[in-house]
Amino acid sequence: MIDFGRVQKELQECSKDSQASGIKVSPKADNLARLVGTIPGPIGTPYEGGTFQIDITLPDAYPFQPPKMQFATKVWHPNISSQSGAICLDILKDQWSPALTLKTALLSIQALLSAPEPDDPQDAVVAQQYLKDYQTFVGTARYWTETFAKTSALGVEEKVQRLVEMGFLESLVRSTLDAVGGDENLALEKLCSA
Amino acid sequence: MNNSTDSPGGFLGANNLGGFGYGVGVSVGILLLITTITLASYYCTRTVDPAPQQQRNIINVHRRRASRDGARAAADAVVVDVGLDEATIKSYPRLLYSEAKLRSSGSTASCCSICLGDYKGRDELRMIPDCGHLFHHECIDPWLRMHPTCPMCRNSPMPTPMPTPLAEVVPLATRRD
Repeated sequence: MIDFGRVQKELQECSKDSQASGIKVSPKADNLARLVGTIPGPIGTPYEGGTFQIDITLPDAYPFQPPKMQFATKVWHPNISSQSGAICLDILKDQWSPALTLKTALLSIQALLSAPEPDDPQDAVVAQQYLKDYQTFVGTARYWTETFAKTSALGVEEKVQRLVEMGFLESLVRSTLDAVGGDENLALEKLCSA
Repeated sequence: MNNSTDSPGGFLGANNLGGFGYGVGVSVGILLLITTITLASYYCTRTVDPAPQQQRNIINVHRRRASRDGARAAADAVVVDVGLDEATIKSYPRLLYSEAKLRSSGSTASCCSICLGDYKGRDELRMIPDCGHLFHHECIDPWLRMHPTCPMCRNSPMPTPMPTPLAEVVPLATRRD
């Protein structure tokens, strides 16, 4: 049986310092067994500026068994499947400890984004590219961040709504937002100049 | 004369015949002896040999099974952490939070890192030997039953069974090189 008291406390702890850490956890449904984690891409990496969503499923034996975590946002990284979002991280497998929390696990995933381990890959294609052609890897990772981790960020709907309220067509607003990578001000400039 | 010469001839012939018969008898006897010996030895070897062969097979099977079991045990040891038994867990010090606070002034954590609940004075805690980390006994006991490690520092409170397998593995590894 999941210790929901603990999960509640974790959520409270997380929301307390989500401003400082940038890490958010929120329940998907009201049963607390399925949650969504959000981590910002680490600065100085090709993931900078992106916001990555991670699907979390808590097993029945949580916290004695690790939470199941998987990227919902597409990401180009040697230790994360570019197809399924599966994460290769020891603390999510045999190195889990009940003293770890959802927040520390998400912090570890953020650290994994900064420090890929191509010798223990989850996605062999990405790992090969990382080892053989690092520049192309950085380019691809940055392109994926721009394409998938920015437009899918939380709050897109709000930006769309605000711009629509200014009198622009919704379809035009969406395509412009996509074109500028989700930046509301840039989109507004572009819409005004068009 | 003829008779006399015949008789000795006949006698000789009879003698010769007797000699021939004797010869045949001896040779047949020798042949029989040889065949009996070969048959006997054949039967002996046939009845004696299968036994060791069977034994050898059994030993081989045993050896194979033993090595297979060994490999499986080794694989199990790698994949599955064997937890501690109830007696070992019960042997670890159990104390009240108020006592723990007195014992180590100030350095005691104020909440259990498994349930994240704050300790209260009457809460019964379990202390892991060596590292001295504290947890609610009802929180740490189920973990120790599955994993012989401290959740905080991963130290094993158990005398590790590692040295023996390692000692076996190292020479194997060097031999492979």
